[in-house]
Amino acid sequence: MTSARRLTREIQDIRDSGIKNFRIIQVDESNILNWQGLIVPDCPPYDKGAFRIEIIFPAEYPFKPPKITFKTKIYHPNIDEKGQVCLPIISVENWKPATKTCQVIQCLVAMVNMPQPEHPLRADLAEEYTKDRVKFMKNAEEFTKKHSEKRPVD
Amino acid sequence: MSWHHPDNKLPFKLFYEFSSYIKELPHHSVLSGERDGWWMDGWMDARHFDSVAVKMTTARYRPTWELAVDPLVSCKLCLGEFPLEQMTTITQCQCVFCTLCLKQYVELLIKDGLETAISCPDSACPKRGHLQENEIECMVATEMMQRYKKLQFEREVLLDPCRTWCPSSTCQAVCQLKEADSPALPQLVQCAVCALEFCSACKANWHPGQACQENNLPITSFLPGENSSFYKNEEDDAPIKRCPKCKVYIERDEGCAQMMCKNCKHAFCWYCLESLDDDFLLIHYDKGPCRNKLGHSRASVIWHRTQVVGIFAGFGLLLLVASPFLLLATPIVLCCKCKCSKGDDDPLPT
Repeated sequence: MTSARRLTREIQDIRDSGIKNFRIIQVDESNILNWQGLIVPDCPPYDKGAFRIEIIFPAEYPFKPPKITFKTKIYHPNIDEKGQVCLPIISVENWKPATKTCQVIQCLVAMVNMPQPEHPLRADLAEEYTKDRVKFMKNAEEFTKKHSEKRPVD
Repeated sequence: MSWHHPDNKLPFKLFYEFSSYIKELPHHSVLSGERDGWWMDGWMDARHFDSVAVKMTTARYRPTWELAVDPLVSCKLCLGEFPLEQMTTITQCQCVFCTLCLKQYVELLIKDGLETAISCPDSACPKRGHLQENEIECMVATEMMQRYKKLQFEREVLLDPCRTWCPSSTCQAVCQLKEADSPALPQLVQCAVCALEFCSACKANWHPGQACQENNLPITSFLPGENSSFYKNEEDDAPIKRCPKCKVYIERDEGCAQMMCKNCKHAFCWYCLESLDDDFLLIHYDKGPCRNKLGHSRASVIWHRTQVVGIFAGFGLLLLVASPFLLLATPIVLCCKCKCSKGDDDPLPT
């Protein structure tokens, strides 16, 4: 099975690389297609916490893209209340099988750090972000402090 | 995965040239570059005084020198390493993948009914190459290839303004359109196979001198093959139709049959596409083919009608109460208007 072989290597690579923004990668022992990890953003207002995400790989991986959902609530124009996120690199029409999970995570971290209000999933937050940045930052920081997980210490 | 020491002659000279730049990069940055026809990707792994060690994950293109260190090439799809004879090179872009992976990739795309040509599976492909038909033929089984050719052909006809599909679900032959000045204009087409005469634009029976009633047709029936016959069985349930006024495509996912086009604000019945612009009481759903198809309970329809009648009655009452005042006010307003316009008529001083 291509998916299991490739994912085993990808986990190993990500763990070896010691990537800073994606931590505590948990892989379901019985099902390598199901990953969980913590996104640790560098930029305010999200740098006060960490956000748990789930990555589900289809059985046809890498020929079909993975799906990412946020398990931690986040105040972000590109992530909705259900934790769904719209990331072009893993959309069905753009997906390229040679794209690796570490690249997908880099894109995700970049998007969390730098919201893209022109392609919002939450129009209300996108409007606040563009029209009243100060208010957005304040709300997002409060929300992060209240709902996000602790950042890993090291 | 293979480790290369910077002393190895293989891909590392490349990084010496950029070492000052690369040394600024954070540890574990993803690097890629080209040298002597080699495209490489890897992780930066260790820093030295004047170079960096890169943990190579992939390299493609057959090198011009002997692979002294590691004769295996890694596949960007399964991340496995294989001898070159188990790899396939895409002619157009020279990207190399293991034959098994490339075959799986192509087969899955064909199975899913590809929408475009099959591109190189690497988003970093410098030439954004595509697989040629003969390459695909070498890779997949005969039935798969037949399906590929069928899909390609269907796409070709769909995009060709001079060809169309016979709308009869039992026939579905390709019909040639007459070479008119503008093939977009409706014209009579006769299917050479089943002799059916139809309109090229709306696919309905030929209607000389009349405009197309193309809104009766969901877009799905423009698609040939399995899809159209699938939708034909339940044409009335087609989820996508066109606004009878502005022709924009509308998908109905839930709700009742009274539709309002977001684009042009035209109200119409989802089933028969008749205008409901003036039918405030929704009497359309009391008789005829759409009887009881509105999708609301009897009680809510009656409540809706009471509201509409109530609004009209309210306005009427208001008008009635206000009419004496209006009668009194009208001459005064008119007089004022006359005075004003007289004043305006005076030539302006220059």
